[in-house]
Amino acid sequence: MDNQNLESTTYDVSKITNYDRRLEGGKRDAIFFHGIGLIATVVATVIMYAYGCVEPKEMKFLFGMPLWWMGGVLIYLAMYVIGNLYLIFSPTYSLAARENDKGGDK
Amino acid sequence: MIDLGGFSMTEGTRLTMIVIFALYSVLIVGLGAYVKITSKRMQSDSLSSFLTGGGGLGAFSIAMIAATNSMAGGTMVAAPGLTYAIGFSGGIIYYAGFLTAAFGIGSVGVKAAILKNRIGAVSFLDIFRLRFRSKAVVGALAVTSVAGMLFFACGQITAGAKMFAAITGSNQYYLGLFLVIVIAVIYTSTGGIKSMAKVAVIQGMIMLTATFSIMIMLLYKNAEQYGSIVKAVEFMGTTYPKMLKANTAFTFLSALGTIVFCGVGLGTIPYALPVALTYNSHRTLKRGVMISCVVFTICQGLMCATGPWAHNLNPNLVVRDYTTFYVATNLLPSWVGGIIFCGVFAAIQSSLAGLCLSAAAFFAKDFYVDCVKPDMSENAQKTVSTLTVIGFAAIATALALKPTDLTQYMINFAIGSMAAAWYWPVLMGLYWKKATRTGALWSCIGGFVAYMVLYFVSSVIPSTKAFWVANLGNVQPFLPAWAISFALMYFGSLATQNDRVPLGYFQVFFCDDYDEKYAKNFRLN
Repeated sequence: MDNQNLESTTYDVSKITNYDRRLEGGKRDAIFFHGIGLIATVVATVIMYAYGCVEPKEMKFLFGMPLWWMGGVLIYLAMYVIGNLYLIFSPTYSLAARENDKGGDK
Repeated sequence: MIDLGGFSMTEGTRLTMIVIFALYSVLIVGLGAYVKITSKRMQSDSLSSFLTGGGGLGAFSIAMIAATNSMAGGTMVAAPGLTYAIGFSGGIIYYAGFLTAAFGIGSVGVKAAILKNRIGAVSFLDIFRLRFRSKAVVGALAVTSVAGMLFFACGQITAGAKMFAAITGSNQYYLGLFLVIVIAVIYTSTGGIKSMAKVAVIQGMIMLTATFSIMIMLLYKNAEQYGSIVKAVEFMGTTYPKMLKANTAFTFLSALGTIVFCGVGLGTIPYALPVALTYNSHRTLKRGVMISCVVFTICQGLMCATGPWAHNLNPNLVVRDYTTFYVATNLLPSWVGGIIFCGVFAAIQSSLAGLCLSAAAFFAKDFYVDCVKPDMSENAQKTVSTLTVIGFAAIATALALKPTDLTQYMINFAIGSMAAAWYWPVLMGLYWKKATRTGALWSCIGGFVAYMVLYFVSSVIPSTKAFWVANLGNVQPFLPAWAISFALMYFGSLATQNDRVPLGYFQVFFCDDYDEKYAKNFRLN
């Protein structure tokens, strides 16, 4: 860091190598959660309109409820399970200012 | 008997509910005062402690704040009212928001907490002050968030006041407005987020009790009246087919836009994100997100489905937002109805408290103190913060003086505006290394203005509304506004790469090694 001009605004972000792995992990969290959220909501909407626009007597039913409704609920519940599994199995970091510091992660 | 338009309640039920509500209100306000006194004794009565709780909240408190902030009048009153009117389609659309805690603090929580420890951030926008080194960006985020939150708070107050008008049986809507806002402001401005955390735990438990009671009783009564749940659904399909159809009220593009901002867009809603500054442990964060998702899944999922079941039992409600109240007063014992009424108020008040706190953080701290008068003393900052809470509540109450028929549409408008302004600047600002202050500023203002203009074109002005429906599939204005905001962020940033912050600040934000001088001097003078 000593050799760098910290006031410079012309640096190339692709040439910086010391990105904090915890902050990069946060980026993965964001992409994962918003990714599955977007996929689930779009799929749920498509199922709604694919199966739910006919008269009730022509509708398909699952577990006593319209298929389009039950399909949406099942997709959301699947997203819930996947999201929680991700939280359980993703790395747990120290939240200290610097990763090797003590005191930030109580 | 007191007539409430399509249903009625006895004097005894009303009295029981009022007594339980009065006891509950005293408990909540007392708790806020207790936390305030405790904070003073422990000498942690600063603005920082008020807004972040000193950073030491536990998983359960975090979960309940996150859940009760988001589940409020919308979940307990407006969504049942809307699904009473349009059927199960509304339930699926609004159920999408149940993973808000995961989208929100799950997505930004690690980075926000680490940066808080690096720079000593007091509010969520401090992080963006470091990221972009721009009063304009922070000011735009603060102002758009407060504008959106005002309409959201208006929706909450309206829902609460409607419930109060029902319980008094004398249409005391305006007295209801007054009581809802006064109780919320007192315990928010006395104890800050610590008070909110304590109250949110109680409120969350009451909301869960209320939700289970309502759903179990609705299913039981439907099965009793029609022979079984399956036969109740068959009756619904034959007699009220719109309850079972997906396209009763929304076109595909309208539903898609609503479901995206109710689901994914809620992840960057301003009033939910400050929770990211209230913990010091990643394990606590993860547990908080998981508990919050469980509570949200139960409450949001079940309450969004209550409307059609209530409609099957009584299709004659004049005020459809009274759906929850109808169940509480007519299908359950009066003391359970009293607890449910408290649950509804709990939801509304905790959400209002979160909104007031966020307004204090964004407007008083981020905009006024840091951008306009940075040399203000700590005591003066607290005064400005308290005045902001009161002023915010007063304006939101004024907006609620003329209530809409279905409150959920007001809440939709508010959420859409905040998500359009915040989604891309916040997420790309946090994680995209090429984001610049110019891109973020254009994206925030462009998204907000586009949403407002398109909302009025699509939903308010009759001539353009007809054109919008006939030629554009009644697309939800959030979708084009969201796309415009993304394009402005992406192309605006790429076009202004010479507008980067100095490397020292960039390293604090992204790297494992950085100069403390830049971490501790991020504020803009």
